[in-house]
Amino acid sequence: MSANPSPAKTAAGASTAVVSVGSLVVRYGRDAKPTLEEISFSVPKGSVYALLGRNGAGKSSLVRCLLGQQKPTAGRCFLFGEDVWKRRARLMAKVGVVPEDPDAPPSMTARQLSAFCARIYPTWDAPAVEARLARFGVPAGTPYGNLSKGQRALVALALALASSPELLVLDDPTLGLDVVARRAFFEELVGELADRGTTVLLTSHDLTGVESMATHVGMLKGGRLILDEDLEALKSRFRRLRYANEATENPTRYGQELSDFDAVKVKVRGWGVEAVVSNYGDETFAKFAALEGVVDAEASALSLEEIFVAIAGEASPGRNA
Amino acid sequence: MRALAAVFAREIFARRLVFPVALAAGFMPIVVSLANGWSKPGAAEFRVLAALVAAAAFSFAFALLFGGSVIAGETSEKRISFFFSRPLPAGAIWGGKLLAVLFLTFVPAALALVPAFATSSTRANQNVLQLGGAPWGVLGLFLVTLFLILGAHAVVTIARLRSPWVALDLLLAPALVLLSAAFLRSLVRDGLIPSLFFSTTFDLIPRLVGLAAFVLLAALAAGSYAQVAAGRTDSRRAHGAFSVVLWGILGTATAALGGYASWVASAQATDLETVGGGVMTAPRGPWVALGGPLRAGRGAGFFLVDTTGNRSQRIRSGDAVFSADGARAAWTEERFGFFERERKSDLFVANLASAKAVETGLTCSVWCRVALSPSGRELAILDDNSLAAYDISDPSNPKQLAAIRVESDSRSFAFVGEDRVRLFPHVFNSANRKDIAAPGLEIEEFSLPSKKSSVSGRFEREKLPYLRMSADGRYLVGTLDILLTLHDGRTGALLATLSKDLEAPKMRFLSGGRMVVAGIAGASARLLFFEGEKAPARAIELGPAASVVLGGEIAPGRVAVALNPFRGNDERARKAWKLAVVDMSAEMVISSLEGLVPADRFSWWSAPLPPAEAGSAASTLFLDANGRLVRLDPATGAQTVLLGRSK
Amino acid sequence: MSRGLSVDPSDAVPLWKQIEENVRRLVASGALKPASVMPSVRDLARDLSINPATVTKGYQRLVDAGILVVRRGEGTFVAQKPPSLPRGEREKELEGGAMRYASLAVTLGAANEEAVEQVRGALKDLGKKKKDEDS
Repeated sequence: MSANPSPAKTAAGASTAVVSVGSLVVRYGRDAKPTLEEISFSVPKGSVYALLGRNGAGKSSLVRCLLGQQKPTAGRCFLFGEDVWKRRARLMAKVGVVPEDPDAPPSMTARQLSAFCARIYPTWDAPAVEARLARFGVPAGTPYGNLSKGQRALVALALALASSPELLVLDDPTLGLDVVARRAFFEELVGELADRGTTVLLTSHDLTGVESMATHVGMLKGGRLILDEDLEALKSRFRRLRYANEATENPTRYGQELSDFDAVKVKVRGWGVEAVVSNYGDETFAKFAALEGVVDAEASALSLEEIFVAIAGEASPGRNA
Repeated sequence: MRALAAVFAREIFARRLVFPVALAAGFMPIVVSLANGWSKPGAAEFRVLAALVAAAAFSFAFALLFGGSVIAGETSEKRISFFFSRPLPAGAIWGGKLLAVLFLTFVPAALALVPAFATSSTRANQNVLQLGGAPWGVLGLFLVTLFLILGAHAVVTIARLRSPWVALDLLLAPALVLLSAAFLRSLVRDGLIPSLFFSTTFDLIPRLVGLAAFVLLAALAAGSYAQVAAGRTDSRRAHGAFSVVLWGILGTATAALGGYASWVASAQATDLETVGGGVMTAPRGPWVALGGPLRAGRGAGFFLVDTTGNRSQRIRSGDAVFSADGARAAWTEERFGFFERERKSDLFVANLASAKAVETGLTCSVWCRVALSPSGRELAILDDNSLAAYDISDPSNPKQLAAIRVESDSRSFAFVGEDRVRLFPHVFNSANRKDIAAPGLEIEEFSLPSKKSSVSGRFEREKLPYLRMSADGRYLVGTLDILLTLHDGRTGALLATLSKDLEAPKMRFLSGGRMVVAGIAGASARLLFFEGEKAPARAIELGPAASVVLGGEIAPGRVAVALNPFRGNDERARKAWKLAVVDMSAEMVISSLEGLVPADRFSWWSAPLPPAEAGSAASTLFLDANGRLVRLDPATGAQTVLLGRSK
Repeated sequence: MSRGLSVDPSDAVPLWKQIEENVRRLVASGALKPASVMPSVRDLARDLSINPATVTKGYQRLVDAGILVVRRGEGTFVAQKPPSLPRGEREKELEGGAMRYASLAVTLGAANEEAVEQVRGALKDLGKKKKDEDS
């Protein structure tokens, strides 16, 4: 089962796409299996694109290619319509980056980092950095290396936002953060989205936080993009069906009744059948519920995490982090 | 520019501690000096010297430390992505960091010098600076530091980026070093050493070394830029870009060096600028051995040349011997290498018909004498008190015929027919006569097949002249001051005194037992002509001259003699030769040609004097005033330039 | 400020729709009085930790339906009076709402009687709440 992004959506998205990836291949070593195999997707302007996948699924490699820091084995990445490998320095003026591992020089304080950035970005809002740090409660005069992980992530976010970027790239920004830091992080992000409508690409393990922020979802598994879809559309077509089957001799065996649905996972339990379907429709369900032998049919929504588990066929990435 | 300045400033600011530390270190000599006595003699010099040492130490330490850590270290530690996520061009990142390293290497060192220099008198400062060899010493230190910076960067890149490219680096580095050494050796052997012989400048070697240093620095710098621009945050790709650029540039430079070395070594006789003074002519046939400076910066070289055609064979020796029939030549080439401990030579033989040199595989010391039998079938070597003879029918496979212990210090030798070798006393400087061992005064003949020797004659110690043997072995010609004597070749008995009042007499055998002698009498030149060994001398006055060179019989009955109003061999003298063609029966000079001098003018001193057949190639070769080898047509007087640059 | 306004990200109903329906409910029950000010998009998004675009979409639909009005420079307010719809429109709205509710009931596997019973109860509750607010 794979997700097929509708051609219309992709085409429309591509013309105003902030990020556009075409047939990206990343391979380390000559004969190794590619980390990323023919990945193509785009991030429309103003959207929040959540890229999900386990550790080692290739999210960080993809982000490095998107930022022009790594040359892909094949394929190209475009930001604002320009090849990012060739135009990296110019394009980075419009991008704010919060990396997975903090890479700012450990001896510099947040204030010194802000001063450095002020010299190299076309616009830099230094007072905003100070204000954000004060709001976060992070000391601006402490060397970066001496801050906690949460504080470093918040400093990185403050720095990323101060250049008024058109695109924010967040590589697993809340990994290892406590609840307080995570909440502060997302609040700040929401404020930024409300004020400026920034396009966001974020990779994450934290599906619960992502679910309320993302407008689009992509899922990497086995080097391929097995999902690339509008979140609302995704959630509207997945349902968990529960019913009992009385037509067959053994009431717990399932037969043809699910034939109208794309069933991703089917479990036969003591009381009946539980099936996750990926192409739910009200009319189809009504027809199904009215089938001979289908009893007590009910359909319930799935959280993004549950959808992920159903598609990826494995435990949630949040648990593996 | 702004971006570069920002990166530069950040790198400096992050390491700003080095400045106060260096300055503090600079105060140490002050403190020590205060403790030991400020005004003691030499205290000022000590302070300055100590400061210089500290400055140098700081330079080297920081060069290694920062050179390795700033770019390559950060890439391997994955912190360089901080810069790549910003709108900083690769050039700004690289340039800013590199300039910062330069700054951090030199400025703290300079700071360490300030306290000492400021508190010492100008004179003390100057004294120490001169000791250190400023400004060349300072430039040298600068270059060394630059090498340390870029070298540290290279080492860290290769060692820490953990990529398979290390294999390429470890393979290419020694390979290029060995190749460069081989090319350099070839350049020294074929370019520099012959040039020393002719006192021409081949100053490309020091220039090459300077160029090599520059190329190496440029390659390292370009490699480090490629690493940043193409590798970015990818360690493996960074190392790959660095290696490709570094070895690409160095490989190209090495190939260019090889090309140049090959070009220098491939010079032909036609590339000669001028022919050096001594041409050796084969007794028969058109071949000669000569050498001289080469055109277009190729240094100098020696060649065997076919004067009737275009063939030449480059040899690495100023001396060659020919067989009497002119079919073969033999010479020695000194082994050259950076690690040779003893001086040895290899023996070569050429079949002149095919103009190909063959390495015989025989070796001897650099002072050995070599001779060929009349047919060239046999070769003998006199070396270090032993005489060895070989059958060289197949020159690449010599078969030893005999090896005999002989007294060789004061003797020379020649073949007198096939299978027979004769040794004779050969002492140039009469002052050494007292040191000659008794056998050194003997004429000794060896029969190679029987390996038996017999002493056929002996000279008296006090009257021993400088002797040379005629090519047929019949005569020995002796020179003792102005006395020129003719002796029996076998017994050494005095047969005739050819001349006793000519200064610097020269002598030649002509065909049919005739002889000519030329020398200076007073202020003019005189030619003496002998029909045979017992015939009286017929003197022919040649005109005023201060030095004379005797040529051969350029046409039947006509001998060429070159006259010069000057002695010596300076520029003025070289252009003042006049060639007089003397008709011996008419006993007068019949023509005079400007600027020519016989090409084999120095053969007289060492080789057995060849019989010059009238009009042979050997007798018609001359050098003109421009140092070119010229053939003179005796009938028409036309001069054909064979070698040397036409101006 | 956002009393009563809460959303469930894992619900089948899209977030913007949840906001729309929550506001409708609050207005209908009188918890949100006419002409009262609504939280700004920014504030509501931050409070609920959701994408502001979601809030904007919900608000926009409410504005289109006439439940909320935007006064430039001042903010978003509850409309003075509930919108009066032409007869056909009102019926269409009710029909649409009823069909949505009916689908929900069928999805949950509820019997028709239970579904109707729930509607009756809800209308009663709303009426009671409104009475309480008014007094």
